[in-house]
Amino acid sequence: MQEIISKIQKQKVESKNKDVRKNYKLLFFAIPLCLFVFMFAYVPLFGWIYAFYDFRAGVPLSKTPFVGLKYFLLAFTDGGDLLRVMKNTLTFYFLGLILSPAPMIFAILLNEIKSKRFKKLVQTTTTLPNFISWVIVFSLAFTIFSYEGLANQILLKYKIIADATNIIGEEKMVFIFQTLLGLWKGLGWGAIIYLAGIAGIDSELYDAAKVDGAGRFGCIRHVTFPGLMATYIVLLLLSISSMVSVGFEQYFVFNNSLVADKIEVLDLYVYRVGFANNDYSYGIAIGIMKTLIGVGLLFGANSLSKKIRGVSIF
Amino acid sequence: MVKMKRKIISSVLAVSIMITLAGCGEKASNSSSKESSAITSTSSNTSSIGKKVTITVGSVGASNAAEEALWPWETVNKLEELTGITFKQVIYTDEKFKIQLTAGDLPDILNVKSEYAKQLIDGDLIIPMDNLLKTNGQAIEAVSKARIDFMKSNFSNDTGKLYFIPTQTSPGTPVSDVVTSWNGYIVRWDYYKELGYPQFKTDKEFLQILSQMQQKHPKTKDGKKTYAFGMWNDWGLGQWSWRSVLDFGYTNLSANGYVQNSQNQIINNYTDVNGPQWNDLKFYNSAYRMGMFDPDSFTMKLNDYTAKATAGQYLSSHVDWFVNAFYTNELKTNPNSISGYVMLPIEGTYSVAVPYPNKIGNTGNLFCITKNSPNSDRAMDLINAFNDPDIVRLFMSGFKGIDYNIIDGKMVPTKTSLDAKALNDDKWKKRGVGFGGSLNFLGINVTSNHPKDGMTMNIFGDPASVDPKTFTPVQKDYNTYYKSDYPYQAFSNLIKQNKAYDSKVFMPIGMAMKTTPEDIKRIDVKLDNIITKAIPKVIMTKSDDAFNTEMNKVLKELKDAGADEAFAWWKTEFEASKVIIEKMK
Repeated sequence: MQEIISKIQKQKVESKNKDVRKNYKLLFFAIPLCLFVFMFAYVPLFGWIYAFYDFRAGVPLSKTPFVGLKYFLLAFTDGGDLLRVMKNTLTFYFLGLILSPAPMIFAILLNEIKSKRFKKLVQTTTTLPNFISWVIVFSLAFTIFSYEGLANQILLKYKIIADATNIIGEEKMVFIFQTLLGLWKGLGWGAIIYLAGIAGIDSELYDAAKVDGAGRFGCIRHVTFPGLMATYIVLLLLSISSMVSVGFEQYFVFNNSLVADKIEVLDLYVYRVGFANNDYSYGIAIGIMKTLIGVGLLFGANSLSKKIRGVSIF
Repeated sequence: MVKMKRKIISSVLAVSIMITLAGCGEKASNSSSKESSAITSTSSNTSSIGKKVTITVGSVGASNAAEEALWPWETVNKLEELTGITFKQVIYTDEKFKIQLTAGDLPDILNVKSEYAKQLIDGDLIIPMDNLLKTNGQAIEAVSKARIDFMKSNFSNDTGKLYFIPTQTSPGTPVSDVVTSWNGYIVRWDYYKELGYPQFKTDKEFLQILSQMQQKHPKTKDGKKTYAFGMWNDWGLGQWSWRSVLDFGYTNLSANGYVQNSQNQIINNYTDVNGPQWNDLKFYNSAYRMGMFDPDSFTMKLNDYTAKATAGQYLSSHVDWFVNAFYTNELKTNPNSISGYVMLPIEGTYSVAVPYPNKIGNTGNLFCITKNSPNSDRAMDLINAFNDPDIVRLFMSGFKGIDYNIIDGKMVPTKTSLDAKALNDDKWKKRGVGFGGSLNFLGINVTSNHPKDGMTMNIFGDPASVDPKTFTPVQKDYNTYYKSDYPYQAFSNLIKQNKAYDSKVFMPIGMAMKTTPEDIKRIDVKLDNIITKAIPKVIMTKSDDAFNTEMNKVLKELKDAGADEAFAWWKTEFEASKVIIEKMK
């Protein structure tokens, strides 16, 4: 019996090696991407060393004083700015998390549209905002939401509001407004992966569900939705790693003195202290902490998912 | 025999090619050929044509930028013809420049702010220019020896070597008057005239006048609401105190926090409630409470502001740069329109139009040669050319015979040139004459006179050279009312009577100040952050009491963040620097 098992195992290994030998050419296709990742994700990690020096741009490290963990400690003693910024970042993240099923729901609804032309029209118009830069989005938002903007003109004309208001400068609305803007910009684009997921669901499952008496909603509930859950979970896991990096451009262009306290997220803060204030070492130290937190969260979420659902990304 | 034949044919070909090229060159260089002889004949300093090279100048700051599509300017081509140097420009933002610095990826020449001086020397990124100055820098030395000594002692990291050459230095010649000013109490002239030219002495009275204008003209022709003032929020904190800084005689020592007053004392702009920052906040608060301050000011960017200014929505502005676009458009539909913006000559105020008459120059734009330059001698030649009075005149006044003539010992602009300048189209811009962008690389202050002939460097800014017929209708009307020959004269008359003042009152103390240490810089950043966030809250308060409460809250926050500690460093450094500058007198 033992012999048979070892023979089978040997055959398996041989067959696997044969496959590798046969398909090794396919691995070459991955090389450019691996190089890309290495170049842009790993080589810059060398820059982390600057967090341990009193770095000034242009002055070589050999002439720069070593300061150890000074900047890491500064992050915790520097007047509570970091705490505020973390609070803002996490708020934006969790609001995004609440809305994370939106692209999936949108894809399902889109899939239910019978008219192909209308479906394409909706898909195109909702995907388009993803390709508009945040600078243009700001201009559009200003045209619509400023005191003399379209929204105020309409609301005042129909006496829905008594005084004009500018939502771009409204501190209380920052989180909701920015989250909705992000949703508007990314909804169509985010739905694409789910549309691909829906296309991959075996049509026999729908037939079987119909035979069992499922209507349109029943098919969504019992076939489409469970079919997309694996994709949703993987995306969710990946997004957890970016809990502390919710983005930069959007918050940078919409930043103004009225909303600065609320809109400043970690990436914007790193930019401000690092580039704008010329405090590179401090900026990099915060960046390092951000990355480590992100990696920790990813591993945590992955093992949690493995335990609870048996689904993981590694 | 065959060799001989080949030699003859080659020689004939070479000669014919040279003749053809010379002919083409004559046609192509059009205006330049006549000018070439004029410049070289009067210039003793511009180096003779050396080997042909391309020298790239990297400048930090958008104000140095020339439109890429229009580069090279005709004046730049002329410079190339005279020096054999192809002058290329690269413009960096501060952020991008810091990356370039880190990577060591620098062009031949840098045109940088003094705050980068220390790290450029520490990083061994630039070369000392002492030897090059002797061999290739005669024009630089001729402008002012004082600035060379000053740079050696203050911007050399105590090495005593010459690493930097400042721009816009005033040589011994007197600083001239200007035609117009771009700051001050600027108003819509037609509305001001309509009110009967009301006089005022205080900001409060000024706001009352603007309020009357707004009541008479609450909307533009297109039905858009009018405001007295508007601001934009993407130019940083500094502009929120510019109005007072510019109109009441202060000069910035840092981007915002510390200013020097006309008595040459340092003022803490963060915490001094009588300083320009709080004066402006009080002013804008009053305007806001009177419904005259555009509430979008806290969210809009310059593009949005410019669009509103071009539509004529603002009755006033602290600078005329953007509101003038409205008048340019007005003139297209009504050539006799007087709906333009003018600066009112108000007693006790200050105009920044005539720059610092100092022999050190502008340390905000310092030239240095990088170690990367393979042609450091030719790079020095280019810096030398920027300090040649003939080249400065070329960039500011254009070509003799085309843009100006000398009649009876006086420079007179040609009508063609004045018309083209007024049109200000791409054809004119391509010529590269008299643009602000050129100011930041010219070594001599353009309001100076030429050391040899005593005539102006900048014919378009020299009141003595401007033909009154070329004034716009609004300028003519203004001149008639104030009985002035040119708009700025109304203000300069006040200066002559000691009722107003200009930048001659300042000692250039900030130039000798050391680079701010990191701990102080960090405090200043916090202070900037506090006041940036406070500005809208303070301006939007609805009563004097609410204003004072908010102000006291901000002042406490500033003090808690280390405002006194930072100011102590600035004050000590300022006083030390003052001693150095006083010695230079």
